Amino acid sequence: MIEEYLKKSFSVDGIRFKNFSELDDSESLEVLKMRNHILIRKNMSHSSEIDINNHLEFVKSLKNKKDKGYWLLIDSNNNLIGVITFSVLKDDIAEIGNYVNPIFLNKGLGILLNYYTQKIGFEKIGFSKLTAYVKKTNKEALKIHNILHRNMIGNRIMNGEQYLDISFDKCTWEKSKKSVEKLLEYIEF
Amino acid sequence: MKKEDFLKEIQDILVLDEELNMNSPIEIDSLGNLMLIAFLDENFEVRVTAEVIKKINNVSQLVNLIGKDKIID
Repeated sequence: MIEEYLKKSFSVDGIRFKNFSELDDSESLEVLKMRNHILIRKNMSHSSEIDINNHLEFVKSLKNKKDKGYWLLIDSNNNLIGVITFSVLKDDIAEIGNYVNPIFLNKGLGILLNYYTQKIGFEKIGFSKLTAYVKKTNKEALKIHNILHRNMIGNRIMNGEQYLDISFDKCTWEKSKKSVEKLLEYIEF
Repeated sequence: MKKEDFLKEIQDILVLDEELNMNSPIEIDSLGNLMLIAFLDENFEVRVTAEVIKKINNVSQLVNLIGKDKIID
């Protein structure tokens, strides 16, 4: 069931979730442009630029990776909003990631992406637990995770940078869902 | 809304360690902006855009937006 969903495209609340396995080259390049933007990649664990060939190769390789699901979010006006990702760690537990299209930075879309990462993760795909590690310097993400009632698991240092290990479960999701939905009503972009 | 409750709400929304007073300067990031828009609408029926909130840089400007009579000493 989980494996099956990781390769599907679907729509939820008027947003199209286009699976990376179905992206054409121009969409893949748009994703690369987002991912390589300095304000996006500075918060990633691999914060260097990715070159086109490696990126296209990676996107193609996702088709055969049963433990990974990557989606490009497209709204009803065909705006590319951002990307959400899941990497299965074990059974129904996955590590999550997401990033906003930098052209929509400072619009509050970070919370929207985090909301849909959890909505899709828990309600559509059926994970029981989602984990993430976040740079301690990524204050806005940490605030968003706080609103989403994240559990603190621990700390880690990678390449000299400090990260927080956090997790979400269905209980934290149910607790935060309604209040986040209220906030989403006020997003304009 | 009582002044002390209002200041506490703003402090929580902006995740500030220090207590605020009516003249405190405030920095509002994009999440804080969104949360303030929701807070003003839900508590004072004041609908503002993100652009309006971006121009706010202290508590008193925020109070002017709501109307001074809505905050009670």
